[in-house]
Amino acid sequence: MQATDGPAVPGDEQGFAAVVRKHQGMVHAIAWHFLRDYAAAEDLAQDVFLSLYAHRDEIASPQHLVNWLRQVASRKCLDRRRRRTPEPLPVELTAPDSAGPAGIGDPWQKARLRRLLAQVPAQPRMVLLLRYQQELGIEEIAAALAMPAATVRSHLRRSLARLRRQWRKAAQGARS
Amino acid sequence: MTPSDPKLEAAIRAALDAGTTPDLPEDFAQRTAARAVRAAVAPRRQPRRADWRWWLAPAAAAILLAGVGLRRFEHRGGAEPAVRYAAAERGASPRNAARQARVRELRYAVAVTQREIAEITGTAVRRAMQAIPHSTGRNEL
Repeated sequence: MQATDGPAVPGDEQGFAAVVRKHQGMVHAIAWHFLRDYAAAEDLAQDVFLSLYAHRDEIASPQHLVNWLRQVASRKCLDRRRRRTPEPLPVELTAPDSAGPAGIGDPWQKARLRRLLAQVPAQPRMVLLLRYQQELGIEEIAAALAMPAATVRSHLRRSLARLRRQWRKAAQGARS
Repeated sequence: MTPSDPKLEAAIRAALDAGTTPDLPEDFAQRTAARAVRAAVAPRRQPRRADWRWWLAPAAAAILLAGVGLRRFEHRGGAEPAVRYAAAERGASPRNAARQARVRELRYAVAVTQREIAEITGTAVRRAMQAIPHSTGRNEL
């Protein structure tokens, strides 16, 4: 954490590298879970940090820095998805080094839910991601995506209903 | 608030590996910082000022070609606006109208013979005479 009297984002290479090291996981996680492409997520994360360096003077505090990074990462993800046509998703969507905590969830079930999540439209998917991956509150998501809190709630409600419906359908299909 | 569905929410959290972050290469932070500093130090690329000059040659060539084409058109029977207008009035083509105008000029202003007119305009006498009002186009010679 930066000293309160110094800049939140230092301009020297070593200082900035420390900031990147501290927040790279969060930025890359948003990008990776959204894009489902490890290399693209790495590129996007780097892009976010390059923007941060260019705007470092505008960052007032460490909390502002976290919010700024989250906001820019989310927007860049949505922009990138908007620009390119969605490619077919791989069957197994596991990050190279992120199997998650061992023993939580059935791998088959996780893979199936990931496929269902991948079919959710971009903006509601980003809301789900910020809510359940980043564990953010409604207001924080609203701030990050620059949308009213009511819209965030509405996206969440609809996405959960959709996932629940598809989940049941898939479960019924698997039983029969 | 959204309807609570703890089971589904827990499943989503598990599917998204909540709270975990995929590992990045060890040198990611250093590389990114170096790149950011380099990008900030490097002079911004100036917009190319001479770009418009590249358009000058094709534009000049196009104007030249258009001029030559127009001249050729005029020369081959393309007509002045007045002649073209008269041609349109009579339903004749501009080229024909120009030829007819030339014939009339020769006949009335210069007063040359029909044969001479035919020779000058490079057409048959009958065709040349069709340009003369009230002429049947018959060879009067």
